Amino acid sequence: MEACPFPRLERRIFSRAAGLLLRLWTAAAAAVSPEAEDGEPDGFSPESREALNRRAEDLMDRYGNSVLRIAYSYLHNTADAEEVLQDTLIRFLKSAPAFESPSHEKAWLLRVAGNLSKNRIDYNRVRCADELNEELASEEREDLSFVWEAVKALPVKYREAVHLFYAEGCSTAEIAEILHENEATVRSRLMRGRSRLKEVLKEAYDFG
Amino acid sequence: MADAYSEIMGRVTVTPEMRRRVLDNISRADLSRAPERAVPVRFPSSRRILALAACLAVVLVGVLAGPKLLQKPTEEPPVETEPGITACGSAEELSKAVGFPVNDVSAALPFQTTDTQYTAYDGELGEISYTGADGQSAVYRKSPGADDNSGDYNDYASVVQVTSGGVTAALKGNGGSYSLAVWTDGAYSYSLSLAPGANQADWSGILDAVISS
Repeated sequence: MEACPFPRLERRIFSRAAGLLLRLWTAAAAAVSPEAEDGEPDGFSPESREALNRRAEDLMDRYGNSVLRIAYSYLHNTADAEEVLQDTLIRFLKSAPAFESPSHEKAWLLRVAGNLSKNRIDYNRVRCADELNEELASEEREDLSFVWEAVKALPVKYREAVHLFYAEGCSTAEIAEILHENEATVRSRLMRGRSRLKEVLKEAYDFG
Repeated sequence: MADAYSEIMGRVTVTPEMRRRVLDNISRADLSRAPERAVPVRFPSSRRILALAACLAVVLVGVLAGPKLLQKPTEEPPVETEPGITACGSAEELSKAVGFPVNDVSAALPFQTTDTQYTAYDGELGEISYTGADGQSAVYRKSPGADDNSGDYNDYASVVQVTSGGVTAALKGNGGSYSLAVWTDGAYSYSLSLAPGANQADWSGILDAVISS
């Protein structure tokens, strides 16, 4: 029997053509699926979309202030902090992470908000207005302005530890979890942040 | 908690307008997840052979160069892991980095250490971290001055004073278990934290051994 050099090549060509047809069929089917025609851009049914909206409201009510505050502590203006709050909630809803407890849930949100804020500090901080400073100045609260300016002047790594400890009441172990750092490192940063504040604030220092 | 900072941050709140604005935007946002399925990449057989050859070349280089690399002196200079923080290889190196003696206290600890890390902070605080086989840990710190250098400002229910080796240390903890000791000899301040904590009697023995080390 004469050996033919072509059958293997023909089989390969046929197999590739079949694969291409299958992909085209799948893409066409997705384009005319009922979800696409219903006008739901992200493919969620109205019921599941409603559930996500309720989840967003719940997160906003429970953690909105904490997330906004940590973002403000990095960025020093409300508009940027608000965008970080929005992006943080969207990331949460998109990834739908599972947690052992509400404290882990809060830690996740604070960590993501912190990371999003730090990205903005580095690359695309949009605005410069510090509404908090303006508010304190208009109320002639020099005592608070002094403290706020001192905290703002801290390097980010000290400031985030100081904020989480004093504004959120986190323990050093919780801060270590949020920042993905060793607890000993967090303690060092907290200590150095406090000593810098002590140097600047002197008698006004009250970070006991 | 710092009253002034709490008062300042208490002014940063989600207003009703902001709440509505953010939730409106979220309700219109695309919340679908990015596709996670990876598309397998298939190489033609000639490329597979090239990749295999590259792997073999790497293995060959490793076999030939490995022994020479291993013969290099193992003593590495201190490494600055981030500005102001220097990882050292021993207590002697750490002492050089901070400019005062920082002694190894592993013999005083209530567990067998399996890992030890030496860190100098801004050239003025020496820290030795110990880890045990069952997850125990201890952090020993020394710095000039008399201020608390532990960085552990958590609120503890129990704070007691113990005198050991001529110095008085403050033990801090909860429910009879103390996880932190802070003391000073006038020239330097010291702190030792333990996880899990220990009772007051055990701490007396630990502090005796640390102070005499």
